[in-house]
Amino acid sequence: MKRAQLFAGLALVALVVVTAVVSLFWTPFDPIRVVPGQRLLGPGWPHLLGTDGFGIDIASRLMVGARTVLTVGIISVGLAAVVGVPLGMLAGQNGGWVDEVVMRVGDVVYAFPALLLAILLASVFGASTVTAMVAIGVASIPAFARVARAGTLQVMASDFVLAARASGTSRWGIARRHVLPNIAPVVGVQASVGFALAILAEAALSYLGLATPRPTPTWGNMLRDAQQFLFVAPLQALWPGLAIALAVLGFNLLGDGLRDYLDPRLREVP
Amino acid sequence: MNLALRVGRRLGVFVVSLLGASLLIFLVTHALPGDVAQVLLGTDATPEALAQLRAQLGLDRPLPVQYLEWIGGMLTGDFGHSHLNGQSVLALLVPRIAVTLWLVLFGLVGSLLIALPAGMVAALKRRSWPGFTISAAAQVGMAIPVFWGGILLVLVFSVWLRWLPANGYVPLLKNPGQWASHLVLPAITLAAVQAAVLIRYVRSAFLEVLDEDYYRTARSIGWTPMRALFRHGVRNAAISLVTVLGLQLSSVLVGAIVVESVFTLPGLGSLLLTSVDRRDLVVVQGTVMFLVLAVLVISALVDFSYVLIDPRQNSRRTAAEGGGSR
Amino acid sequence: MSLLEVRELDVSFGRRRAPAVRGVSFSLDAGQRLGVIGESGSGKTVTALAVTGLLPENAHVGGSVRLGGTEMIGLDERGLARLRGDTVSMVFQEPMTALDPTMRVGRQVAEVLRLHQGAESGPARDRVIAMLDEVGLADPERVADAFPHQLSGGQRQRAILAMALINSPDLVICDEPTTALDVTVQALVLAKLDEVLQASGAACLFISHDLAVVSQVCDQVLVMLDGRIVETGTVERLFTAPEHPYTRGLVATAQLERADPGQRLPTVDDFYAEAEHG
Repeated sequence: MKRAQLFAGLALVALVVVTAVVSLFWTPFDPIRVVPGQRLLGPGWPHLLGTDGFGIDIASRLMVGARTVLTVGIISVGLAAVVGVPLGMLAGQNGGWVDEVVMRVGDVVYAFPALLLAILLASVFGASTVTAMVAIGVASIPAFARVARAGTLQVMASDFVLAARASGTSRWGIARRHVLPNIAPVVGVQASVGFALAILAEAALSYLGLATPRPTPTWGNMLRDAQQFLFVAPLQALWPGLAIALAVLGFNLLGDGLRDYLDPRLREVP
Repeated sequence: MNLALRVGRRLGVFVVSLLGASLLIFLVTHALPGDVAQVLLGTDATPEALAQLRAQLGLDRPLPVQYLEWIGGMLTGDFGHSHLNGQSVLALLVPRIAVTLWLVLFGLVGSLLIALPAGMVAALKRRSWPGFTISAAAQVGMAIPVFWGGILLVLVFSVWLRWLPANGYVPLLKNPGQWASHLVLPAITLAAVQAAVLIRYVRSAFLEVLDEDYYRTARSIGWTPMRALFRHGVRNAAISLVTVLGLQLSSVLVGAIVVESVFTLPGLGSLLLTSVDRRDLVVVQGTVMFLVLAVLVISALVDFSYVLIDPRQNSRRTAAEGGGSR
Repeated sequence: MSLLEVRELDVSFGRRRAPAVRGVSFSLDAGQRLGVIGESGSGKTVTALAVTGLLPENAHVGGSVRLGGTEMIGLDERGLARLRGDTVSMVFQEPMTALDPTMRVGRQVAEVLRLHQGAESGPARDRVIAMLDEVGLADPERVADAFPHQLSGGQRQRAILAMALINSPDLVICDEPTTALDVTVQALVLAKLDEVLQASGAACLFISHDLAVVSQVCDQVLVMLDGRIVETGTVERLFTAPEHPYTRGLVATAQLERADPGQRLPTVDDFYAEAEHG
């Protein structure tokens, strides 16, 4: 049951990754060029999922959209982990006022959902993929810091760290040799769950026009376009949403599966 | 630690967070190359014209001065004026607060109405089909972006069934029926998506209760499992759920902003988005500050509410102080 | 007819059906007190939970448990709930966690009356105070108005005792009721238990790993090992002439005060070695 979840998650994530990679070399049609004569075609051949309001093949745009999702996800989650994990370790290892400052700043950032940050950035710099990535990344830092801090506290309380300290290992040495390897699994789980949240956030931002602008296709801005034709071509509003839901489901299942796999205590008794 | 000290400490944290947040908002909107004057006059403006406009708007003064002035204004209820049309930000905010407030309220209450019973059943029946079904539905629901959920509801109830309007808003006092019919779909959208996230927390909170000794005691005196869970579980589960609810609040707020856009409701979200489009920095800055203030106030209130739910929080008398057997 | 009649009780857990209790049979008459003794994992708690139908969902139960003439195995939750707190009540091991932390102690004790007698809160409160007084709690009014965390372990366990006895059940099951308490408090709670059982005339199934504790409350004892009953008899006979090597070990470890100073203390394993070689 749990194992099945993990594999379902892996399969969905793999599907997104493969689609994104293939889109680098090949898509059925041009995902950008407007074809006025072919607007709003229904699903069929050769346009499997039909065409959008600009006459562009929807399947091709979906494929390229997978690329945007992965790029934004990797960079924003990476940013959050690279900043958040060391901060969390610092707070957990030192305690005292360092801990207090890091966690309080984290609380302040926590009051800023990605959407508000993206709105601030877009109002100053204009909406772009970069503002979206920064907003999502910064907003995700506290979650990583919290996970890393909790893990660090646990490791620091263990006997092997005590032994290492007794034998004179430096703080940096303990962080590198004992803390980091031991908290890596929980950080990995957080990354997977954070990736799912990043996909949702990116989709929402590009739907609202606060991220990647047209003509570059994203699943979110495809839905924004499709909504204009809801009464004429309702099917158009299904595909990008389905793509988002499957990708998010994939990363969530992967995260849950990893958590259960890494922590046998959480496995339910037979 | 006694109660007064804890309340004082929490208030201190609130004030510091508020200052931190305002500083962050101010820095993002000011420490940038393209300032308001540039935006207003366009790229081909003469340096003299730019300088004159900056002076007029007070943008040529040092940043700390501008920051203090902004903060001071907010303390007296002045959130600034739009550089584009001189409108007061507060005057723009006030009529829109109601719309967003309704949405957040219905979204939160609706999600609890769905998630509490569903989560309880999921916990109690975790080894049989009702439990599996609810958990699976929640997993799928969590993957559905809120705006797509809204679009799907519009497809079904507005496009196909034609029961409800697809967008727009009518104030409550103008026409209560119309008001309700315009809010039904947005509220359901927000509540359903939020509920999917909440169900997991509710389920695990009640699973913990099922493992507790007092739950077993309750059953040993003759409560059925469901009634024991109601009688002795809800209050205990609430202690952990209140935290979650506090954290969820900002996501409900974000959800409301997105839902406003899906259904073109004239709330704070739509004000923000149009202001971003026009690069009306003062309005964006004021509105974001207002929303963050709301989030911080509510998270402080959530912390205080523990005292009401958990008797252990307001008296710290231990077994030793309470006196042993006499 | 006996009050409690257990016949060929089998309990196993999970998909692999790990056995916890195998073919256990015993009976208990009204007003009788029976001790069940054994180490953790011997199946004594599982037996007690099986009697009240409180086993976890993944338990498979076979055999028969008749309480006051009603077959408990296979009875639905509604039927079991009617008997629990009315015919049979329980006292658990952990007084620190057995009470709802968010509810005043008096209300929790009164719940038993409300559930089974539909008692109104006014008169119920008087009975609760009287019962708290009877189990030896000084200042019962204050205890009734206290939250569990404001009481000591011994106070809590006596409140639970009050809860178990207030509705005059026919049978009280005590699962290691004093294990979590200090030695001095333990003696006090046992004495009170003895007293209130005497007063109410309820039968008692008393579970413990400590023969010395059991001997203070019970006259008859069952010894369980690996899910089976290995020996039964009066407390006196077990102390004077234990038959099973495991019982001999228990008796020796219960009489440590008689060991010579400086001598290595006996463990149950010693008696197994003896049995194998002798």
